[in-house]
Amino acid sequence: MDPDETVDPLGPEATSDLETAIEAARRADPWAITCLFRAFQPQLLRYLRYRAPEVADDLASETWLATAKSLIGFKGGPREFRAWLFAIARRRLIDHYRTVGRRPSIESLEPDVHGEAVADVAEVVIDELGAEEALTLLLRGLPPEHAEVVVLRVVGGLSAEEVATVVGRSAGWVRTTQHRALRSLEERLLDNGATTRGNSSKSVTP
Amino acid sequence: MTPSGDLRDEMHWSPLDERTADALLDGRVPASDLPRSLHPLHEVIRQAATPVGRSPLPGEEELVRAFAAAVGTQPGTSLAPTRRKPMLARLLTVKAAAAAAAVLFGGGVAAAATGTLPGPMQTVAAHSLASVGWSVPDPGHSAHGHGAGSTTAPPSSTTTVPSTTTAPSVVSSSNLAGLCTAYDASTRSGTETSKPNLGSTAFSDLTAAAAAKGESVATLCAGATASSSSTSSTTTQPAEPPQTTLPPQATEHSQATDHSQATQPTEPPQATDHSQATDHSQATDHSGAGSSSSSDGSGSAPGSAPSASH
Repeated sequence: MDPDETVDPLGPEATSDLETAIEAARRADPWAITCLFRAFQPQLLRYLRYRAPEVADDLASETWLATAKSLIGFKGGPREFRAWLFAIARRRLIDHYRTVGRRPSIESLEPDVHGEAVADVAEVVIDELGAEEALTLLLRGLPPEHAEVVVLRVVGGLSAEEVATVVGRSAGWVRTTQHRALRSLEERLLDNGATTRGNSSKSVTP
Repeated sequence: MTPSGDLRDEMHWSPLDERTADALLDGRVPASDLPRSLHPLHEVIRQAATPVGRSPLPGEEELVRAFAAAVGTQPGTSLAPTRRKPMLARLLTVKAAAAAAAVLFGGGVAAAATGTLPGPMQTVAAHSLASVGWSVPDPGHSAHGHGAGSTTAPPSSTTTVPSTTTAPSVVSSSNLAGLCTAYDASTRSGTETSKPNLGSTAFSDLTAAAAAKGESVATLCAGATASSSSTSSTTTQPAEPPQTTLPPQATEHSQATDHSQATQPTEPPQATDHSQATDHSQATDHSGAGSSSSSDGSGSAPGSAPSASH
């Protein structure tokens, strides 16, 4: 992939398609619904899988249907639609964990299949990470609240403001949190020599 | 306190300030615009982002159908009653016909599932069962029939989407109910020596679904048939439930995630009672109202105003 290529499904040309799709979806147009589903389901599913892998598919379906039922009252474009979708998904998630009586945790995700693959950052060829390995690397060691912010930002493609709305915090809190998370990863990459391929021109203050 | 101050105390100095972090996470900064020390971080974030997909997704067809049926079902909205009503009527008729067929023919439905009915009868069975989303061999057509929702099927939809998810998509909930009915009928009508043929195509799906859930076929079916019988016993009720009878939000997911539980005896069937859409439809119908009453309900869903005038 071109390094500069955006992976945001809301690129300029896609956005106008999706605007049309949202309007047509209000009339239950199958083509339009398919468009929306393909554009956002992969993001939604990855978010839900990270929080609740065992019921992610069910929660995603519920999210879409809840969306359908309230679509008439929805106002906004594709970005707003996506943020709205994630807000609904997150409520489903919280309800799910309320029902099963335990808190969502990222521990359930962390130690599994991809954990070992990225156990030693120094050995990772970053350019060849898969999406899941890269995400695991990104989230490792983060408190769940912080991890969720990063997931919504990176996997969901939401802006800091949109994440703030979804998680019910201020945009400032989101920015602080994501900054800490990236600093933490940067430190880990540094500690493991992952940056030695470049020149280590950084100055160090103890 | 400023977080960056905290960070400077305990970490190396870095060009990664709050603004840069935000830009990195936006994924819109080319690596060439970043200090070299941030390239690995940039690359990890880029890799972790969700790739754009334009190809068919697992479960797409069912979901699109369910979505289309659910659009505007929120009480207080008036969209497309003319579109949904005939569909509801048709589906209920088909469902009733299928139920009658199950009663009349008993093991015959099971026979249809395995393609062992006499030709014309098999054709009829295939068509009516296809209407409830259950594909059985049809001597007249070589293609599989998932007929009921064909009018709303997306143009590029396909039933052979490569599944990257786990097995639940093998058998949809309603297919499950149908297969279980057949399984049950086959069990009861059969003698000791003619147990249900779990090797047949239809039943192998059932077996797979059971295996995916780590249950036996009997266990899986116990729930599915309980659920479907409860549903069919309420087919004369209106399509949309009065909001006052809705359960507390806390219960919605126990029902949503466990299709085998018929915990809401007052719950009327939804228009798309024949497919996987059904169960989700029912589940989210509660949730729609649930979220309207919950403090964190979607602010942009004015259509969620309760209405009991149906």
